[in-house]
Amino acid sequence: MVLQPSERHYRDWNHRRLGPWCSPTGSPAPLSCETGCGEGSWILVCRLLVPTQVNLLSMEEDIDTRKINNSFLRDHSYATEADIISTVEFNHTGELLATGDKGGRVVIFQREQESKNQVHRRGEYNVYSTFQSHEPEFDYLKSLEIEEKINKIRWLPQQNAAYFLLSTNDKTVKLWKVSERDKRPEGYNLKDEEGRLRDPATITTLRVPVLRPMDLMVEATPRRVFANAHTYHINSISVNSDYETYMSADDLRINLWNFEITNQSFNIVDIKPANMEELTEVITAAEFHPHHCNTFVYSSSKGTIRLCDMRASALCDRHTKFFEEPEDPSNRSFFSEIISSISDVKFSHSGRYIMTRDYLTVKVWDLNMENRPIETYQVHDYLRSKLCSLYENDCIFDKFECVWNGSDSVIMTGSYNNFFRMFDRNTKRDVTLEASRENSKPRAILKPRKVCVGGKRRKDEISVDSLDFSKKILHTAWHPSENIIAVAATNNLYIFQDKVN
Amino acid sequence: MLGKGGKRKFDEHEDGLEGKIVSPSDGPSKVSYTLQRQTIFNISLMKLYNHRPLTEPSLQKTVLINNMLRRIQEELKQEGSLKPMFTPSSQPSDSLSDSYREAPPAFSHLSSPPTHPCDLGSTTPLEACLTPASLLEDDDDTFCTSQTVQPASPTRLSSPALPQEKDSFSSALDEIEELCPTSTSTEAAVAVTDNLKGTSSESSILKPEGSQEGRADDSKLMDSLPGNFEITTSTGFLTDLTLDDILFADIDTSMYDFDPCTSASGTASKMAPVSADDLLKTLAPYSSQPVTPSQPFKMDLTELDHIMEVLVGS
Repeated sequence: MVLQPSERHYRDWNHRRLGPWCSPTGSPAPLSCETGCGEGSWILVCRLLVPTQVNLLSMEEDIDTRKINNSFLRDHSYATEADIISTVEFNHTGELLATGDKGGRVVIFQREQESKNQVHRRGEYNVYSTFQSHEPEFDYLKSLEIEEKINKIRWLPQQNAAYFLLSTNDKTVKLWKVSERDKRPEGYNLKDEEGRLRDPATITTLRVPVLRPMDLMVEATPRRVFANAHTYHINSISVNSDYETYMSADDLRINLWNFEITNQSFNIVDIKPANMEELTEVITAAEFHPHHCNTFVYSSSKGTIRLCDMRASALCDRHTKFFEEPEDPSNRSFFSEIISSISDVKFSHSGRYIMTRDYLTVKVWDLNMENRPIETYQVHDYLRSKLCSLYENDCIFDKFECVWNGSDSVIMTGSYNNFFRMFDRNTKRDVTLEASRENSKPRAILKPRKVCVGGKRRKDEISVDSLDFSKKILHTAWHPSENIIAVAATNNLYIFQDKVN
Repeated sequence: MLGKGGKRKFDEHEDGLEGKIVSPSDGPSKVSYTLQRQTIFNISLMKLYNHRPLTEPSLQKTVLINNMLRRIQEELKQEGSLKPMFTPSSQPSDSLSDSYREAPPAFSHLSSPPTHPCDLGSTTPLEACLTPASLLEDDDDTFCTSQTVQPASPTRLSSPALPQEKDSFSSALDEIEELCPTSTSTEAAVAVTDNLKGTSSESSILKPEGSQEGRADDSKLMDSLPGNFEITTSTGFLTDLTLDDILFADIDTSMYDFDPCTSASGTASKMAPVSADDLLKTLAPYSSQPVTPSQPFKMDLTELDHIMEVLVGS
């Protein structure tokens, strides 16, 4: 799918759409990320709305976007379920930010370049490319739909002018190439200007085609489709540090792919029991080690993490390391197993630690110590007494993700009521922030939020019973080198920056 | 949903119920523990069996709910209060710790009265079961007898039948033959389930799935977990049979277009998950004949039997 907006078009469209929220003041963010997450230091850079299907079509037809923007702003609840963001990922430089949504679309935002005339606009992200990655399918054998929702996006490191990313839904992984085109060859001999073949008899002279500049065009093309390898729902993909292979993990199996080969994959983990009745545990997330291309981890629904070495055997059913924390007997309940299910696992950038997210906590593990995590952070422990009703309304099965900052000093994860939490591992301080329209003035400093558990509620606190469990922050991303974070709240993408005084 | 708003009464109960799990040996807390366990058990069953998604349900969720059910079941077994589900002879006791046991007799009591229409084919309205708050405030007996029944009943029907659509189908036919003496279709269906459970001679909901899984190679064929894991797979098998037109020729097939979306988009199969309740409903017309074993009824059954043999043979 090819979009042909000009750079100016995009920027103005974004600008109009967001109104006065666009421009952060102050100097650009520092390159070092040692500022931590002190209170009162995060500001809203911009709030981006993923364009709806209607908008997309209109753009192709070149309709005046002002009309559409106004309708956007008029009705802020104008969002279809297809717009719900289901994954967020920065690329390796942080220049690009990709989001996937329930409608199978990928929207890539690009960071505004610093320019002399508009220095205040740096740090903003504007739409760079949008394409339909996956379409809904129908499994005729099972009479079930296959959702087009994008479960994960992973960028490949940039090796040439084009950008490559992997996007996956429940069954199929696709490799997309996103490239720019700003020149067009003109002056063909055998074709005329419209592309029709010329009658060879009419050609009397030869000329060399020349490249002429054209409006910037960003095209996305699917380069590989890796299909039919997963019986169960894919929950993770991870690019290996060798940049030649990647893995895809579903509930019971993990497959290893080579980027060049789409009709074969190696099965490296298989936990499917011979008798499905005995199934009690599933794979919930998996990731390759950032530096060692033979090492990967996968987490399970029983709160365990297994580290595997692909050099040990072809089928890594026997783990090299097994991470599990013994259960705390004082906290046992009917829901102990469910809340111990790990929803996300991430290696630190250093490769020394792994971070896991279960329903109520985030844990940091040292790879060298298997019997317990080295750090445990309570995300929303006040929910512990609400587990029964959270089980009833299915919220207990929500899969929150967690992210490291560039220096592995701060970790971040989401919660309910559009809250997200940051934990500074060094200072042991934490902060709760909110990503919402109502409470965030443009460029104002985000106010830390607090949930009160007891009876007395202070003025700015919110009580547990007033939390909105339909507003959950499941997906967040942290810029690889700067203190810029992207937070997805339903169909809104919030970008916050650490303000430097 | 715990939306915005003031405190709900539920919360008070919540804190009382699940602040910390007390050991069952505590006197008054034992009641609340059992109550909570029962609530969770019901909710879990509801989740597994009242769900008809367009897409495949999440395996992780299903596994976790199954584990929850198994754990509760283990606990109940250990406490020695687990008895066969359908023992119509057992007297309902008033003690709460036997709440689980009360369910079967209550089921047969409630099957006829119009106030509790035991419509086996319909999905139990969620509202009826998903209000543990109000239930907990109500009389405990009511809670145990009425509410435990409704969520439980569809499950007993759907779970054993689905993974074994061939075996259960023929056994269902057998049962229908046997139940000719009964008069109403509802009771017939009840008796069917009684016999279904009787043949499997199991004492719990999950066990019949296990035993039926064990004794048939359909499980390997199907690659299915106990019924709930891949319900649609097994019914998908049904849809592939070209003889289903013959089987259900006399029956209004509009019931299988239960979901306009799948029938609109889906082409190959109009039969989205056909639960055992549906199967029984289709067979109910046959059983609604007069009391005496009617000739046409027998003939239809033999015809069906013949067709089943052909299917099995092929």
